[in-house]
Parts: sequence; structure tokens; C-alpha cells
Amino acid sequence: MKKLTLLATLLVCGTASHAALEPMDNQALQTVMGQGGADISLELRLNHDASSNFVCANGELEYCRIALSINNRYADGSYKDALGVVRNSAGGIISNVGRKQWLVFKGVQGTLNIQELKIDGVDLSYASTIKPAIQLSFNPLKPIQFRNFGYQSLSIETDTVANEGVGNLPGYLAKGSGGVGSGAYVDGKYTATGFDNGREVGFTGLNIHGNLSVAGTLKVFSCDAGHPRC
Amino acid sequence: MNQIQSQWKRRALALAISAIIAGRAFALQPISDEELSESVGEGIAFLPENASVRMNGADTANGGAGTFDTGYIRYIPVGPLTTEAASAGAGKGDIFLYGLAISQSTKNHGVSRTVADANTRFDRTINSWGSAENPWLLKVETEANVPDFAAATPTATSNGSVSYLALEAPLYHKNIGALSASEKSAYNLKMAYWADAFVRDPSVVENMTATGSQFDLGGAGRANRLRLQAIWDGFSINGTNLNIFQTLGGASTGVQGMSSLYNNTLGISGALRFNSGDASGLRAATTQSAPSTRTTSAWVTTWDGSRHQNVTGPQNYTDTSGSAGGATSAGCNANTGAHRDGNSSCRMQFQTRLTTDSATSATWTAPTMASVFRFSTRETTNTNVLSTPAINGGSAPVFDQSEGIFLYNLNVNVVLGQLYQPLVVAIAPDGQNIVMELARIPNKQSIYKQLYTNYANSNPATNGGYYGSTCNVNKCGSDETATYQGTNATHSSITIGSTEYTAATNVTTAHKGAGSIGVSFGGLPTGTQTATTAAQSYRDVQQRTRGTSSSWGSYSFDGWGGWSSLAIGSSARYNLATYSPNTWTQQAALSVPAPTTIPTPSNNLGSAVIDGLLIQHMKFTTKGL
Repeated sequence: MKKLTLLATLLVCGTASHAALEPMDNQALQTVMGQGGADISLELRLNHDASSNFVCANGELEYCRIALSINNRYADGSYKDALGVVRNSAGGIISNVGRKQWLVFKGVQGTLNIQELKIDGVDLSYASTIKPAIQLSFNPLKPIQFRNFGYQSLSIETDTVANEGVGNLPGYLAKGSGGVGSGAYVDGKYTATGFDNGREVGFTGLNIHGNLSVAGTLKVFSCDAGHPRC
Repeated sequence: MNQIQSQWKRRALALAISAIIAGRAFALQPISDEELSESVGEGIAFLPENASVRMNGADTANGGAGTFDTGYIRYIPVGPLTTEAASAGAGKGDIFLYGLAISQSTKNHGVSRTVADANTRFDRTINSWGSAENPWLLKVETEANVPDFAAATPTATSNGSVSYLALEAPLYHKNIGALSASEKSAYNLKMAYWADAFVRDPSVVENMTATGSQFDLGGAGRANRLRLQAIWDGFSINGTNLNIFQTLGGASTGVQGMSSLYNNTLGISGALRFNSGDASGLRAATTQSAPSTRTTSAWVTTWDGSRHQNVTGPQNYTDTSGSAGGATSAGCNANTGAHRDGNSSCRMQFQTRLTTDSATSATWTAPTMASVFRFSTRETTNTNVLSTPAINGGSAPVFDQSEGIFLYNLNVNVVLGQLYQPLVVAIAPDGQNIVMELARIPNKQSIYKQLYTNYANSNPATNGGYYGSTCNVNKCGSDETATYQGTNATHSSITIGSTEYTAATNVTTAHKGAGSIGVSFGGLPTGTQTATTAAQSYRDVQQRTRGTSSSWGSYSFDGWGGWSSLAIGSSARYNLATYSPNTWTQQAALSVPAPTTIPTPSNNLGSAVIDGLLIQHMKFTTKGL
């Protein structure tokens, strides 16, 4: 943001003798030689405090999830066709879809810190075309920081009521009890002693931790009908 | 998808960039709806330049970049073991994938790699990953007349339109050699990672600050770790694409093996192309001289027996073998010592001949090996068998460059489904496990004729209407343009090492000659290997005798007996002062040597090809989740 700030400051200086900021016309703007670039830093915290620790309360872990429901995934194999007609797995018309199934990412968390991202406008040429492009520049010495980014476990959960009807507990809030032996769980968490104890029910979690050191530039431009690939 | 006679509906994606186009030399101005509707943005293009990516440790070492190659992606082994696994004494698999890096090889495109090249995980930036004409693309398109799954009869033609979101890598250029050095960098990528996989004791609580006993399943301090490094030096991903869309309908569970899970749900298709380059010229140079030849000289009489008379004193010859085989004429008995001087009544002749085998030689000269994919497991630093940077800190290990499995010139072209044969994700009937299914090909002409290949005739106008073809490094469906390969083939091809390519039928087979390379354990040696069969010879020595008869004081010769060979190892020796050479030794006969084989390195396992692979129906179901 330094360049933009500097440009803004210069503009303010240039109009200091006037009472207020006034719009510049095209001609005046063309005389400005500023590059118009911007430096951006962006820090994203998802269920993390400033030290990248997981902040979700132990009794409310079901609110730290991301769940995906792929279209037409119901426990009884029913589906809505392209016209919205509900059908059973054999194709017969029925009135309601079944219980919705969810792919639930549990214990979702992470800190993502883009320390430096430069944005500039540049020209790009192909054949006889000169095209403007946004140029994103990365500094390998200011890597994108991933801190405990990911989820703790992944599971498939199902709604309790068909067609998301009355009294339905959505799969993404599932927090049941069951299982036996090393797989026993209560309130959606394993109870057997050892590694799994206290973890939410599911299988393989994913955790990304490190500095993603990116070098180079990325030019982003529109691909229109004048481009050989579009 | 060019095969289907579709008309692309161009969807306008009004991009904010349009505003910049309009206002390049002017102040930014709002763009009217009318102007906006005239813009024909088809998608967003990306062009990475001087790019590289490397997953470093979460610290500030190396000027802020972090400790090299110690950033990780961990697969957390949550969930109980299956009963079978637990009773077999198994632990949980805890996997840390470290240092994922994409860069450009230190060697230029087409230059031969050494084992050292295949042991560095990060080299230099990629000059230009694509070009302005051939960038990465993210776009939305609609394809009409895509056949659906309904197949009441094989001739059913029901179809629909499919809109799809496509992520496309730059297309694969048909003549990489003609590209600029900068553009060649996209065909010269290096990808690397290394991993630690532990056997975790499920009964021990996780500790991410000290090793403790969490990996001691089966005994304290056991080496419960697999350390692995994978490096691919010299490849491209050009031509790869991935499409995401909503599938069409028409499938009913239980009808012709189809499943209603195919209907109107998330579908994925794509072509995964990882190519090292055409290998139809990849050959080790071999030479082999003509097969061994045997020449046998004529017999030469080396002692004619004439001098035994009237010569006294030093012996003139000795047959150390005795006279076995000699004629048993009168006066020539078995006592050869008696024949040494002139008073002997026996005469003895020797003849000898030489049999010579010519030498052969062969060479094997390594070709230019411009790409190698290598897995290895033996680290030479940070060798503590239970530590890993995620828990114990420290730097990434260095691996032994001489060890591992090397795959030279690997070309992987996998066609993963089509808009009409999608990959779908479903949930197993138990409600716990995940199913990944590549839809079965229905008994529907308008689908299977798109997929099946007529190898003898690739022209759908005359081959019965079959559009299928194989995606390999040389061709991938209908060419996109005169410059770039297509992306619409239907069959997959995976090759390792030397191949033979027949353009007319688009078929790739493994090269089976002596110059074939591909898979090897340890790197292939560079330079020339030479092997020779030594020249060899042996000598035959024969003797024969004749006696003399006396009658009334006068001698007369008997006739010569038959020639017989001396025993092996025995010699006929002559007067050392008078004759040279003076020893002829009977040698064992040698067999004719086999021609020298090409000295192919013993770790060279040769090439391998899987070509023309069509996935009719594929279904993965996880178990025990």
C-alpha cells in the first residue's frame, strides 16, 4: 500500500492551495508517472488465536466444521433430476428425497499469512495484440505462512430426517455416541485412551504447516475471442 | 471434445479487467451495460513467469524463506484400526509429506541428467510456464449434445447440454525444439518431495514436541519409519486439464449395470498429462563385432624323426607323455626314453597345429537421458530412525544419490473420464465409506462410439463412426491447432523409457532391442561400457612312430604308424640349445566362444509401456472408515 499512499499524498500536496480534493481529468492524470502498484499483505485466521492455537471450545466443536453436500447424495439413493422431479434409484417418481449426506471436515482451522503480494498492471503481447494484465509478484523471502492449516478429521454424516424435514439434525452438526472398543465415541468424540482420545469421530485429518516460498510473477488477463485459446 | 459436433456457447464473463482495457491511457471510467455485453471474456488466463514454489519450514531461516524443505503436509491418522489390523499388531500410519517443491531443472531442456541432478529437490525458477499465446486458463464453457446415460435401446440418442468449469494447463507444443529457451522451461520442470511415514502406537497420546514412545510399537526404539524421497527432473504438465460439472441424468440403478448415483451430481473429467518427451529415439548406442571365428592351421611337422640316427649325446627330443598311441611296430615300445638317441631302433615324428579363435567386442553407450523420475529411501544425514523435522526440528535429510529406483523418460497420459462418462463421488451403502466411481459405459452407441477406437482406420467418416483415440506424448486426440496437440483423446498411455511409435495407428510399444533403457535400480552409468571376449588358442601335438627291422646286419624301416595326440599337458621337447621353439605342449581343446553380449548395465531393466488403456468402469470404495 506504500505506493498508493505515496501517490495519494502527492495528490493531496498538489491540491494544497485548494480548499478540497477535486477530480482530475484524463489529461491531468496522464501526466502522473506513478506506477500504480500496490503491496498487499493478508492474514487469515480460521478458528485460531494470534498464536495459531485452536480456539473452539471443547463442547462446541460441531461449530468449527465445514461440510460439503454433493448434489443428489441422499441415504436412500433418491435424487432430483434436471427438471427437479424427485426419483428413487430405479427412476420411479416419489415425493421426497431421503436424508442428505454430508462430507464433514471437522476441527477446521488455520492461519494463512500472505506477507507480501505486489499488484501491478503490465502489458502483455501476443501476435499483434497488446493486452493489459494484472501482475501479481511474490517474494520468496517473504513466504506465504501456513500455520496448522487444515482439519482434524473427515467423516461422512447423514441428516436425521428425510428431505430436511421437521426436527432434522443436519449431518454437519452430528455429535452422536456409539461404537465399541477402540472405536467407542460419546458426544461425537472418541473415548478410548491413546491417540484418538478426545478427537472428533472420523478418519484422516490434514495439517499444513510451513512457509510456502513462492517466487516469480503471475500475469492475470482476460481470455477473449481474440485469443487463440478462447 | 471436438469430436462431438457441438457448437460452443460462448458465455460472457464480464471481467473487471475489461475496465482496465478500456482505460489504459485514460482515467478509469465506468463501463456501461451495453459495452459490457460486447465484451467476450471467455475466461481468465494466467501466466506464471520466473516462478517456483517450495514448502519450507515455519521459521525465519535462509533470509526469511524458512529452513529448506521442512514445511509439511501431515495426514493425521484419526480413527480406530480395523479389528483385523489391530489383531495383526499393526499401528496407525502417520505420514508427513515434506518440502513439496516445483522448480526448473538445473540442466537445460534436453540435456542429459546425472544421478546428482536426481538428488536435488529444488533448482531454479521456471522462466515462463506457458506463454501469452498459450497460458493457463480458468474458463466456463457449455457443450451441447452430450449424450446422457439413458439407453433404452443402443441407438437411443437422448442428450443434453453440459456447462463446465475448466482448469487448463498450457497446451502441449508439437515441436518443443523450436521453442525459445524461455518457453522450453515449461518442459523442463522439476518436482520433488520427501516424506516420513511412521508406525504410530495407537495407545500413546500424540506429542508434537518430543518423540517419546509414540512410535515404539513393537519395542522401544524400533525403526518404525519409512523415509522416502521422490524427484522428477525434466518433465511437463502441458496438455493437462480438469473439468468440473453437473452430470446428466438417465441412469437407473440395476438397469444394464448402471447406477442412479451418476445422475445430476458433481462430475469430474480431465486429462492428466505428465510427459518427459518423445522416447521413440531414446536408445543406448550398441556395437557388437562379428561373431567369433575359429581358424585352424595346417599340421606342421616339427620333428621328422630323421635326426635320431648318428646323433649322440644330448637328447634331441623328449616325449613326456610316453609313446602312448604310437605305433607298436617292432623296436618302438612304450619306453620313449629309449628313443632319444641315435641308437634307438625307433623313429618318432611330431606334428603340431594351432587353433585360434578371434576376439569379439561389444559396447553400450548411454543415450542422452533428459528426464528421470526417482524414488529413493536411504538418507545420508539426519539418520536418527525415529526423528522427523515436524517433531524434532532440524533440517531436511540428504539422500544417497546412488540408490533408488530410476524411471527414465516417463510419460504418463491418463484420460480420466469425459463429460458423458464422468468421475463421480458417492457414499457407500454403509453411510461411512467413500466411493469414487468412473461411470460405466452404457450400451449406447452415441457414447461408446465416442470412446472405442478403430485402430486400422482413424477416420470416423469411413471407420464406422468410432472417435476413440489414445493420448500419448506424440498425439492426444484432434490437434487443437497446427501448433498444439489436442486434449480430447479417450485412451490412456503410460510409457517408461525407450518406445516405438507408429504414427499411422497412433500405437506406442516398448522398444525391445539391446539399446532399450527405462527402469533401473540405481542410476544408469553414463559413457561407454565395453566388453570383449579374449582371443584364445590351443595347440594340438601328435606323434607317430615307426620301428626298424634288422636282418643280417642291415636295417630297414617299417611303415609309419598312425598319428595320435599327446596326452593333455604333456610336451614334446627338443634339444634346448638347437631348436627354437623347443617345446610343444598338448593343450586341451577349447569350445568356440559365444559372441560377446552387449554390456548392458546390470541394473538396467529396460522399458515398459501400457498403451491404449480405456477405463470401461472403475469403482473405488474405501473400507473400514
